[in-house]
Amino acid sequence: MLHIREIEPDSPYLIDECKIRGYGSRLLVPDSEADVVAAVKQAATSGVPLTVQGMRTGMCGGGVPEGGDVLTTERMDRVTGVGHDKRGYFLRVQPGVTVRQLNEFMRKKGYAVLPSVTPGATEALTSENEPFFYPVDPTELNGSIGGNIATNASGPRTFKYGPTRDWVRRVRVVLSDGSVLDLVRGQLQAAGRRLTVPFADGPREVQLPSYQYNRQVKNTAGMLTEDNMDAVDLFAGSEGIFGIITEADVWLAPAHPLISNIVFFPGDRDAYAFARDFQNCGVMPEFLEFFDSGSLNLIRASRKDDPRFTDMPDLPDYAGSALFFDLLYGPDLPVQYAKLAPLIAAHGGSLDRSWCGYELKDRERFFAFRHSVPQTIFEYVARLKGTSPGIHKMGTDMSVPLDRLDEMMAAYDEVLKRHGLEYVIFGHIGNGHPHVEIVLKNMDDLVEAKKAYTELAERVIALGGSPSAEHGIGKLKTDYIRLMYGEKGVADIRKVKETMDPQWILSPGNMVVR
Amino acid sequence: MRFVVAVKQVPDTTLIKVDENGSLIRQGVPAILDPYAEHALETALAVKRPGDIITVVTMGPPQAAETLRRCLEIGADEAFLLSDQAFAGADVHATARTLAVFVKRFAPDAGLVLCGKQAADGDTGEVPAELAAQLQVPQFCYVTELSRADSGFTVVQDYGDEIRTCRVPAVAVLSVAEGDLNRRLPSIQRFLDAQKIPITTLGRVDLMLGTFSVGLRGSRTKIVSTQTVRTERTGRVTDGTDPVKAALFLKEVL
Amino acid sequence: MLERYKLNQSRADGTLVWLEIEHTPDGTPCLADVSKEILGRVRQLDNSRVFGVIFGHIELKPLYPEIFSYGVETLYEVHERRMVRFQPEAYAEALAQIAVRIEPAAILMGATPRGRELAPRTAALLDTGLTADCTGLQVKDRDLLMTRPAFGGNLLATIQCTTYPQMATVRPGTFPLPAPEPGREGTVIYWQYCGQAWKDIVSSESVVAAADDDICKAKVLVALGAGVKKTSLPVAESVARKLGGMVCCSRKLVEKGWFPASRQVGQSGRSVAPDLYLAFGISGSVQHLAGIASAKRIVSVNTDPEARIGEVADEIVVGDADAILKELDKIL
Repeated sequence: MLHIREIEPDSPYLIDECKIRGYGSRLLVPDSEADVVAAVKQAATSGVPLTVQGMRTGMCGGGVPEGGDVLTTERMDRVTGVGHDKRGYFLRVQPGVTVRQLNEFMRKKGYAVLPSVTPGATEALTSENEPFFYPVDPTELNGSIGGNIATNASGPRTFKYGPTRDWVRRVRVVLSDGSVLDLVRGQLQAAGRRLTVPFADGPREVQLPSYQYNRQVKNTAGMLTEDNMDAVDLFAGSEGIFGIITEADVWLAPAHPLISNIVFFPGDRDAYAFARDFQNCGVMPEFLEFFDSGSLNLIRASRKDDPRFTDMPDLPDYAGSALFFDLLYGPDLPVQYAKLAPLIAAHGGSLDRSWCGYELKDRERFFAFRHSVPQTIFEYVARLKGTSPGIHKMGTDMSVPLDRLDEMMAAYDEVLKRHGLEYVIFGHIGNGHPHVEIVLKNMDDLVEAKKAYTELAERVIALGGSPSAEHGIGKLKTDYIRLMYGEKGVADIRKVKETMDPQWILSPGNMVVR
Repeated sequence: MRFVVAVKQVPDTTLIKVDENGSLIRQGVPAILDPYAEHALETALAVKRPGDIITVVTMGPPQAAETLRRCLEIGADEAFLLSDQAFAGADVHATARTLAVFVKRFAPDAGLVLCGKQAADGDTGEVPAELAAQLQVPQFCYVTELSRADSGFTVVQDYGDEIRTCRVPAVAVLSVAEGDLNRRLPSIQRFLDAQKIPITTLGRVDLMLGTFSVGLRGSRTKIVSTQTVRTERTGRVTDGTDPVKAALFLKEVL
Repeated sequence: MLERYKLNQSRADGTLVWLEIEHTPDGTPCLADVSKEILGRVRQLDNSRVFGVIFGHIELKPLYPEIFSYGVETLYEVHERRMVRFQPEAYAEALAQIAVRIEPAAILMGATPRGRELAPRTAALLDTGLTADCTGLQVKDRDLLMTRPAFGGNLLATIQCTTYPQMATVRPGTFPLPAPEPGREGTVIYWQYCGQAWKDIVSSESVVAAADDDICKAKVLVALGAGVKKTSLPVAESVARKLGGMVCCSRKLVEKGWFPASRQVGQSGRSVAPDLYLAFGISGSVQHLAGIASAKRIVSVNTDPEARIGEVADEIVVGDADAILKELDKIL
């Protein structure tokens, strides 16, 4: 049944993690795909746009409505089947399942009672000795799978496993005319840059944008476009503007036992250098995350106020910066450490100056520690909201190829200091994508930060990187499309939108405006 | 001086599911170091001085050696596994007896013996007191703080309605309740070193215990029968448009 | 032949109960409720002799009539000033000595913190078995059948002790408080403790009530969510006080600045396991429900009949949270 409610002005459905409040009239809550179809058909008749939401954990206002109605997938939150194909096992999921739920489900072996989508899949998966898991791990684990697919989300493990797109086997999409499209990867491809999409009233020709989409670095700036693109990728990463995902198949990866490690270094430069050299030492971690001295000091300060903050031992005095990575926990672990030891020592660290843990609850502590840096900043900003209601978090989301990383780190330092801003750096250094989180103290800082941001975005593009590595465009970063692909790029995306959704009823305002 | 810490391997209770009958499915659930025992070990480590030795011991199947390895990684110095088919089915009495004999024969110079308050898999926390009686030494339960001065140890005990501070004699058994110590993590070096420390396995004969002193035969209680009790969330819906009636209904229900 | 004539069997008979003494805020000693509950149950089970043991000094004398009124026939008082305070080793020694003298079939005490410390030591001294934290007691001849939950709470195990005296600690609140029979008479025997097992107590502080700020310790939680107005906050505090609990909230209210983060329940806040979780205006997001999965009873008040919290609630009241909260405060 399609539940319909009025939206109060202070409703949580008008806001996402970017903390900017939108406005809208009705909240539509579908229980099933049929309800979504009904909602879209109604919108097509009335012309009232629908902003689609998952768990509203987006950072760019992708789920924030600017008028019209809101459609939330939160009630479509079941895992519905298990399958197996030549790549491996996959789960059939509804869009409202969160990543956390998915992996809890896998850990607790909830799939044992699910129907098999391909013959014998459930029995086969249940009888496997090794556990399996869904490897894309955005730090915000409470994001929905539908949202993750729509935004091609990434996390620390993208270092080893790639972004969400690489794990999507199939999507089922409701198009702007209410018809349903079921696409398995490999089933429908573009010819060059022309893709034919079947609608109820006949096939439509989509001309994919002509720009070069940078796949060398982590990149969520704009929709994917490439020669002979798979139709699934029209919907994966396009932020909900071409269709509403009502079901998806995601592949699973074997879960090996892991050991989490944090290695301390005397200073930031030592850590960058180590991260750069890690690639060549013959050890492949699951991910490689970085904490700069600013973020470690932030943790130290938070712990003074609340000793229970982060369930970890006190940070030792010699910890200037730190690198966090998981290794495969197996009989050859001492060999892996033996390869790392000289590299660590060469950059001022030592195997003594580290933490490690392999029991699940210890690994969760490491993970929570990593999450505590953005968490502290979030709480800090939330407290400031009282006095400065317009304030929001300001973090960079820029990636560069690894060989230009040093230059980029120098650029961050120079530009931000020049604008008088305080910042901490942490995150996916393995992907050339550290988060630079600007610690805003008041509205003046916000103004400076926006200026600095634009400067840095231009610098990043010049270095061959992307100014939106992970967070996407949404409504806040539409400028980047112009910055990266020019007016032509913007026009190209707009043309695709006009073909797929001529009435602009699906999540208008995301990525491109009318 | 020597500390002895008695630990236990338990299933990870956060991952345990319940089947249709309401009983727990233990199979396939990973085993971990009991958190209360871990805290007891942390307590000992916090007061350890150079020259002290921390000995950990557990009674369990061969697999329990993993837990001892974990204790060594966290900082224990030596580890003993009391494992024997004959120990199976031991109740509190037999367990305490086995541990007491271990302490007397293999750690006779032990000063403080620490245990977790109870184990996370439902044990009832009786072993520390029985162990103390069998060793004929004083016991200190519900310890929330252990401090050490040159003159000796002091504990703070929390009985709920009384907080008591006592001096601890040279030899005693402590049962440690939850506390505020942030659990430590081994460094990579410590982890690697701990893999090389040998774990000694002792059976009934090594402990020189008779067959009627251990396990099921050495127990003083036996389970006669079990039954399941069903509890379900009822989810009863009540109309609350009239606040006064609704409040009355709530009061009934509470 | 031994069986038929019941020869070579223990002469153990009667039940010995450790009577735990608590103190009212002004320092007057009184009999703990759990001890009364046990005596009530013992009287119900059979008509064999009932012994009691208490430790202390002259301050205990006014309690004798009450103790007899609950059915104790012979009261052993271990008369020792130093035993006014709990001394587990000395208590256990004395208790064991008395047990050897009177040979009871069973020794019972409450599963209070002190009882749970005393019982195992005593059991070890008497080389007998102990069943802790029982929720049921039955008797078959002189054999005690003790019931207690096995791990997980959904399984009940019935246990027997294989030696005399059979020992058990009983969970407080398992049995009802019995009605006393004033005017019953009994005998007091003073027992002298000659041991030296004294604790070196540096300090002892009475804790009257745990004025904690820790919602994880609260037995009752009044939880507020986005569906309530700010004016309901003091009302909620009042209701919580009356119910002997605390107020907690969902993430939204922390974001609004109405509560500190320490009051937040949920995935990124705290996990709580109260006996009662009263949710007002909480829709029950996945993150929030994760934090209350172990609550024993969940009652939800919300205008939305389909709020997610309904999936885990025992009682769902569909109505205006603010208004109902106000009315509830009036009638409590």
